[in-house]
Amino acid sequence: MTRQKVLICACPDLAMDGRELAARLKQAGVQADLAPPLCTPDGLARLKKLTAAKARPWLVAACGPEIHGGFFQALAGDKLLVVDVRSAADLEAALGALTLALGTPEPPEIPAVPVCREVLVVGGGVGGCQAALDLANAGFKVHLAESSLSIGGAMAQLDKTFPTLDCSICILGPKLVEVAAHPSIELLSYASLSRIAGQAGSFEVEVTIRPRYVNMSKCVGCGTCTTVCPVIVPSRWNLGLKPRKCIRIIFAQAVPLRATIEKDCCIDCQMCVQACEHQAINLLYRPSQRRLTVGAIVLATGAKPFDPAIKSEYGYGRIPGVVTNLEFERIVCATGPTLGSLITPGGQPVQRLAFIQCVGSRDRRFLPYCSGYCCTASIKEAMLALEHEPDAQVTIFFNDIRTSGKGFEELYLRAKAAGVRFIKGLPGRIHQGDDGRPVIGFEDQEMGWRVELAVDLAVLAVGLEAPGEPLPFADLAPAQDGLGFYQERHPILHPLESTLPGVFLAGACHGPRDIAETVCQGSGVAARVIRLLTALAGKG
Amino acid sequence: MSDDLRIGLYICHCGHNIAGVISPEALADAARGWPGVAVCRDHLYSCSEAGQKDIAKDIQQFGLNRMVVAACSPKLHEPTFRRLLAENGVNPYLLEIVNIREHCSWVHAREPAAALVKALELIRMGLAKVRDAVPLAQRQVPLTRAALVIGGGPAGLRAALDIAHAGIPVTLVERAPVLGGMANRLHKTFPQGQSIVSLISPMMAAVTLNPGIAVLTDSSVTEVGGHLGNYQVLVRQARPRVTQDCDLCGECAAVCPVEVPDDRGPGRGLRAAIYRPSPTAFPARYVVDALHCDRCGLCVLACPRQAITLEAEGEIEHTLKVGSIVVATGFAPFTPAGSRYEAWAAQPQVITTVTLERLLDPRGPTGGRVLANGATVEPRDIAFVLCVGSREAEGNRYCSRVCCPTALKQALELKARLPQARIRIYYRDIRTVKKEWEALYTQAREAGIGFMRAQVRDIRPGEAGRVVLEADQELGQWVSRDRVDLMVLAVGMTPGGGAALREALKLPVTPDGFFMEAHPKLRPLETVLDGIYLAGACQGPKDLAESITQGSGAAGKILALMAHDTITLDGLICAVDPGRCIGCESCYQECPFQAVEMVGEGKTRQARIITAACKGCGVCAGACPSGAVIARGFTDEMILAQIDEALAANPQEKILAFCCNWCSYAGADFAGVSRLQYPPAVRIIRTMCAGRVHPKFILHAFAQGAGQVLVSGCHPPGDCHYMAGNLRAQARIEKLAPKLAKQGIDPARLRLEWISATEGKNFQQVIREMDEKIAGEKAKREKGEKGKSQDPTSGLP
Repeated sequence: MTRQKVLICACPDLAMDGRELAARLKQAGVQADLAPPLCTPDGLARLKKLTAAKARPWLVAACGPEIHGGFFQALAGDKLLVVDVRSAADLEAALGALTLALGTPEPPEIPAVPVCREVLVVGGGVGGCQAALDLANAGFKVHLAESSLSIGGAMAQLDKTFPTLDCSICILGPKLVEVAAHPSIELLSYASLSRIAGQAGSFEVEVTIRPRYVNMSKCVGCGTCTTVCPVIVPSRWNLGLKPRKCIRIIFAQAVPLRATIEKDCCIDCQMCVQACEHQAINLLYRPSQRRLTVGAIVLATGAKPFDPAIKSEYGYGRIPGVVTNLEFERIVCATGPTLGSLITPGGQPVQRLAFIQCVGSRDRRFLPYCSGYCCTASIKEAMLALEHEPDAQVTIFFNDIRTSGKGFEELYLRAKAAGVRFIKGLPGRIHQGDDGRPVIGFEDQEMGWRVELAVDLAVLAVGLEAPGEPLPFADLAPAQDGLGFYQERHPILHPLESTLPGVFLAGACHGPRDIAETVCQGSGVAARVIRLLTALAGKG
Repeated sequence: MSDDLRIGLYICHCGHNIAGVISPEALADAARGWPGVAVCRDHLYSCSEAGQKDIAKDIQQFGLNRMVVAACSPKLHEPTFRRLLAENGVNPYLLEIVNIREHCSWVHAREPAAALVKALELIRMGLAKVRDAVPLAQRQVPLTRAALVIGGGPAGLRAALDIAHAGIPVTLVERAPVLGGMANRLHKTFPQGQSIVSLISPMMAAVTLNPGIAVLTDSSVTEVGGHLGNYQVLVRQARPRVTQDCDLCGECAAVCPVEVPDDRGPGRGLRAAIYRPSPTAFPARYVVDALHCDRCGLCVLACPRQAITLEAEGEIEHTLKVGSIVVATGFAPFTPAGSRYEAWAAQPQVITTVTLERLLDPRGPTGGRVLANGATVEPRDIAFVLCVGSREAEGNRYCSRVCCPTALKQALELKARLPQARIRIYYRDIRTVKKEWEALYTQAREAGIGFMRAQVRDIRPGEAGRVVLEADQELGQWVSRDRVDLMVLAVGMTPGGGAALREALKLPVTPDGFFMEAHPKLRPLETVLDGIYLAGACQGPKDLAESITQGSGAAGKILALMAHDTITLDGLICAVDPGRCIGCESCYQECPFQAVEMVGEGKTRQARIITAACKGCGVCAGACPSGAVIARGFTDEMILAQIDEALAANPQEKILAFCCNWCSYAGADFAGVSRLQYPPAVRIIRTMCAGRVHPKFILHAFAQGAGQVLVSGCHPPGDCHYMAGNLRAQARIEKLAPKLAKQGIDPARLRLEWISATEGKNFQQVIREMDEKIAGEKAKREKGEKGKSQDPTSGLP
């Protein structure tokens, strides 16, 4: 049965005039009616009449599923053929889409696939952990794949969180333990994905688990091996600010709490093998493979900090007193390389320090967007500096202070009251003074002349950028924007869905965001995954 | 002590971690034969499979009914040993972990003899505690599989849809006659500039069409009782005067003689007393404005379907039983009336962003032409003023987050419609904090919109129907004057009129008036009341996408909750002994979670713990004057027994420390992990919260001769895991000081400290300082014993 009648939704967002579209269709010999916007009560009344009729010669020209959100299905099941003309760029494109649909006799049957009630969460930061916990609590089996040695993500590296200055690992730690202890969550740490194929309801995922050279069930995390290991390398987790052994437990609260050998540095001395009372160490382990079948995939892969060495005018990497804000977090953290003493990487006391905002962010050469978190983070770090050194002189160079979030403005006001100096305008460059300290050159916009400020520590508030490595989707991959962040299916209505059905987004992998927002998205994603899997199961 | 007490005592070497300082064999030899100890062994690693198998064998062989493990912190392996007990048929709560690693061997590495003595005493304390342990059951709370969503704006709509989609019935309560909330007043969204109608209406339609969602409009929640899993909610709904027979023909409004200003948003004209609140919102209906209707009855006669009854009076009461509640009551835009902007807003050239939104809408009162307050020509000079009602020195101090992008979106739309117009924005900081929002700012600058970093101090009437803005320029500190035809105040968000609801829900709000979340970072959707969740701008200013995300998030929480028929809760909660309760209400008032109810009247009035709401902090037990509250796992008897054991020998040289489970105990653990050395004088008693510490414990400790007493908890205000238990502890300690002085106890011997889980260093410092005081006292005493001191200050450090 072909359709010869078109009902056009007079959506205010149509790129063309609905009346003109109707006129052109009529010229082509198709009956075309213009209805009030179909999602309004008047339009719905019209649509109900149409769906009540037995014969269905009507085609509906309206919006796509990312906008109407199942509203047409709620009304008429899958029987109503809806053509998306709202996303058509112009009249001709809309006509083309409609002509094609008019020639299609029946909507193609989508073959039902058996729906798998297991979910893969990629990334074990706070967003991934939240999504995994909510899904597991809702009765779904969750596989949580983490590329690093421990879950916890960037939050585990922070000293305190804004705006309350809560200790980061203290509030995160219990959540990580909850993940590890949950009977419905399988934690795959030190894992990377090697292939993702399939479709919503049934994805086939291949996971490679890299060898730790330590038996996960024998190791008790006692750390004896790390005391005997003779090889000392910089700790990446502490951003190179602290040495560690070649065999190590990544950090004291790591989940899982297991030792791992960095094989590239190992000299095969076997001292750890002999020292381990549990015979847990075996230098001959090989990577292992896992094959998972999951109904949905949640991407919670996070973002990575901008590398300020590229912005060479600030001298990062050349001047020892120039550090990033994440390095600063490690320096002031009680578990960090200095056990919480505020000193420069060179070991000097810090009396003067400055924070420089928008390093990488809001810069057309690097990241054209605002990273959102850095203003409040720097203000928090300024407060931490004052906690360590009450007499320190703290300056923040800013472009706009963007403390927009619950309780953030209060923190800004508190910092001002505590004597933190805020200077509008970003410094042009940092050079090394005669004493080796960083000297910040900036323009005093009030006075209109150039000034130099020598500091013990210059902290660069670096932006967040999308991580580079793409995931190995065998067929269609979820779309990414020009900057590498994943694109949402719809920025307002479907902020948690990627463009690929069955693949969801949580946290900074689709744009910079703070912890609280990421946690909300983790929970939100759980609801959307459940919704999808319930709907697919109902169909199958 | 019962006769059939058979305790298994296990001492762990933890490789060299413990055994390197303290001899586990020596500990085991000493402890063998202590009262109740049926078997005592040391293991290289008690937590290892071999150790566990050994213990399992003992449980069967000796019929053990209690267990004490002297090993690492309970934070690490308490779950492991609880599981071991449960697997072997022993109640998992009949266990005590004695921390001889983080709190002993690691921190007294250079004093092995003192560490051994301390370890033995810690084990004695553990044995004393476990003797009083009783089997506890995990609680099963039944669950009503239904949810309530309060508020029909974007967040509430999405929450309702996501919950209902999983097959859980939802009732959606909306105060207004139609759904949609504030979205009905918007025209276009930022940053994409889509029509709001095409985004929000499909959601409204889907809610209306969903058979699992019952929508109650014109309704408000007035009473909420019950607790997680079983809330009883009373909803009052205004009785509709127009029945469902209405087919929206509009004859009624045509004949209505009453004319009132339209309250559907500023910038509208007049409407009748019977009217349709919004042409695009659901449910589609006409409503009677009872306030202005003069009961003339013309509409009743005009209605072809007899759908109007003007006599309908009063309210319909709905009693709902739900397992969980989503609060999505949204926000109200800041109104200049009553603020310093009132005089400005009275000028015809001055409008708010909310009004401009209506003027820009082609379906709006001016058909999309920018004609404010009866103007006849569209403006040429337009100024936006940001931060109106936000970031104020007096008034709302918070940033409303969305006004910057809203103003940018509107400025761009004005620029597109009126290319000749000169537009500038007066701002303090442009806060486009999202990836896509910054692009709006860039576009605006590229479109030639001016940005003035200045604060508008005042406006006055100018020539030719204009207003003059006087602004303090932030740089250069001069005052600028600017003549404009239209001035747009970018108004912020306020919590709105949810005061009555706040009372009904008993939900705390933050100082800014928005609902408070359980934790600003990790529990942003939860509230302190289990089973009640927040979504959208009622928690703080948010844009549409964030609100909708939170709607899904709250739904996710509820779906996780409702995946089970019952809710399982930990057994470590409180109970009231009716034989001892005197009905004083101390516990009722101090409980941070409203988990205590008072039952009975007069002399029989007594407290009762609502088990489903209790979180086991023991703040109530710390307040009870008659010892009636039993804080399970941390009872008075247990703690007093621990105190007695801790102070059995040389009490005057000891520091008795009460440490809360979450921060301070973990802080002491962290001192251990960091190998921070401190004097071995301290004996730690773990409580769930500092608020559990009853003054009688402190008095008892001093009566036993304790040299120093420390009470330690999480940093106020926000770190406490039980809302404000730390503050309750502080209040008690402050009250106790004069009492101590009266009893001849130097109040300086009692100390209160906030120590977080990472502040091992602070813990070390505090213990060192307290130990110095003890040493000072000791020196004083020794001098006193020798004879009268010549110099009274010589004993002090």
